[in-house]
Amino acid sequence: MNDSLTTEVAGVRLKNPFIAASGTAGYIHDAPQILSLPSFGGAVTKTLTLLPKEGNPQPRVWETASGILNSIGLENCGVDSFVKEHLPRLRITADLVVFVSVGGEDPNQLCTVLERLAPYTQHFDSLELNLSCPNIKSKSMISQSPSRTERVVQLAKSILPKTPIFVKLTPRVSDILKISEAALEAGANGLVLTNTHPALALDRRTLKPALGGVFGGLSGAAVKPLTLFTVFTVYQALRCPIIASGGVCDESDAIEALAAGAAAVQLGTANLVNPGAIDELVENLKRNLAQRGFSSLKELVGFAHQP
Amino acid sequence: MKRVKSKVLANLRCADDAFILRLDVQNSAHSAMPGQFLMLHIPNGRTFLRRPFSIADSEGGEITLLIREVGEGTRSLRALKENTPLDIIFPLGRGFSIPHADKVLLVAGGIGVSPLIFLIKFLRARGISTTLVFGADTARHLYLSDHLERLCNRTVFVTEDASSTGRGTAVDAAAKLLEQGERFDFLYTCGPTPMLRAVSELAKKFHLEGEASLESRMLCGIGVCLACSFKIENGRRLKICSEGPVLPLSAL
Ligand SMILES: Cc1cc2nc3c(=O)[nH]c(=O)nc-3n(C[C@H](O)[C@H](O)[C@H](O)COP(=O)(O)OP(=O)(O)OC[C@H]3O[C@@H](n4cnc5c(N)ncnc54)[C@H](O)[C@@H]3O)c2cc1C
Ligand SMILES: Cc1cc2nc3c(=O)[nH]c(=O)nc-3n(C[C@H](O)[C@H](O)[C@H](O)COP(=O)(O)O)c2cc1C
Repeated sequence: MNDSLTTEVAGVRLKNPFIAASGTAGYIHDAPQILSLPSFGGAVTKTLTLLPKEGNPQPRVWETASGILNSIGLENCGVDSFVKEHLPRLRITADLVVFVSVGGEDPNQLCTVLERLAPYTQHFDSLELNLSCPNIKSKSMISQSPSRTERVVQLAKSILPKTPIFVKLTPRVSDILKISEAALEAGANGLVLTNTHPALALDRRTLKPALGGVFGGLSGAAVKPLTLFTVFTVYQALRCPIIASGGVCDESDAIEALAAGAAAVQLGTANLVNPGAIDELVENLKRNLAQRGFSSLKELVGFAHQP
Repeated sequence: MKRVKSKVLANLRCADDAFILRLDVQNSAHSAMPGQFLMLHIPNGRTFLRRPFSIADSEGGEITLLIREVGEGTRSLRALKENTPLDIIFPLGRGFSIPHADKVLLVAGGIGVSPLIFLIKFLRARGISTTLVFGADTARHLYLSDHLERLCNRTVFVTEDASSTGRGTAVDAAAKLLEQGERFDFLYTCGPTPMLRAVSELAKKFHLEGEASLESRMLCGIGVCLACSFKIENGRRLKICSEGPVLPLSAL
């Protein structure tokens, strides 16, 4: 086993720091073999809402320089069908940590989803509260408001008191520290930094919005420096458990995100473009750490902040 | 479905806007079925999303693609030299079903002919008679028409500008055949989605069963990202990449 790669974030132990990001691993058990999900430390389900969602009109993806814009629009099967068809099958191997992602525009609906999941907590290890999906029609995201974030996290914590809760934040705020603090004070065990960056692409020929949903969320290599900025800023001020999400494409990116203060990293776009690359990444990370003289991953977390 | 290290065996122009790419897939134990496709990484240092292409032929450790140049990715592919290594994921998707039939009708629009070429070869090897109706904007874009003429039992070529034998669309020409009382046991079609819908209507009118291969913008091609989710007739949503690209005509 790659013991040197084990990591712990808010008490959740992962065999390596790579987590397959929400929306890029389906409902885990139904992901194709080529993704090699069992090789990850953890995996997050597609974000779940109370009612099934159809998602946004086509096209839903657009390539930009070193990044992609997506506007999937949270297409998902809804909590009832999830509980029946997917929840009992999430544990595909003993050592893959399972995160269930829950989102939605309306705090009451979001809590109803959590209540429906509450009797089945044995099927998952952790909850990722997606308070930051840019692809839905409401005017603002919950994680753009410290007070709404605080309220939702408090409610979630009261419904699932024993489940570690990670709150996934949007980078589109004026003060990420205020939101982070609100989430942590309300009882969040850790933060996922961050969801995609709200963005726009125009079709070069027609000069009209390229995506069916007009706006999209930017992800991929293009956003890595933005993720590093957010992770570094929040770790510096709060020293809290952080999972980095955004622009991590290879082991060097992962090392940078860990050095900035994350204890684990998500792979999203990289999964979709290079399915199965995880096996190589794990090997490369091990080698890279050894070459740098680190005997364990834990020494690396927050390294950039050391004098 | 596997990631395969492939390489370019040949890259040949076959029309003013299209070319044929032959790839070596010796290392892959998989064999592809007509209607399946691959996702190809384009080694130009700029486009990093894989692009989907139908398998236009597959034989003896080789696959052939027929590609129309529409943007940066496809233009870069045209420039690839022999022996260039290529990273592909293949075979993907659900291909055409092969029914017990004596005589089938195939309706192609433009570059949509690509998966039908492999299918026609497959049907022919099983003794099934093939009639191809192939429509394009202009005669130059009736890709590989000589080859198709030899491969099919019968071909009808039509163009919108009448630069070939007949004027009109593939749907009009197919309708004409059916209205004249010609009988077929099954229908296959591939082309732009509005054309597929029109063919589906036509098939319904003549009580003909069939299948269509659909196009969509894809991201992963392996059924996880939901970029290509498509609502079928009964309201259910399907992923074109993994539950298609071939769907029953009645689903449109
Ligand atoms: C299952 C499947 C099989 C396909 N088989 C073939 C084939 O055999 N031969 C072939 O030439 N093409 C095929 N295509 C279409 C091909 O994938 C696109 O033409 C290609 O991805 C365009 O890449 P680009 O970088 O050149 O264009 P881009 O720069 O990405 O886009 C340029 C233009 O192409 C259009 N375009 C981009 N992607 C697609 C797409 N997926 N479908 C339709 N239009 C698109 C855009 O709207 C834009 O106008 C297939 C598509 C699918 C989904
Ligand atoms: C196609 C696609 C679908 C996504 N769906 C979700 C989702 O349902 N819920 C969510 O919280 N994040 C979703 N995301 C965001 C990713 O989980 C991830 O946070 C983001 O893509 C940044 O990481 P990356 O640069 O590694 O892709 C999606 C991203 C993509 C590309």
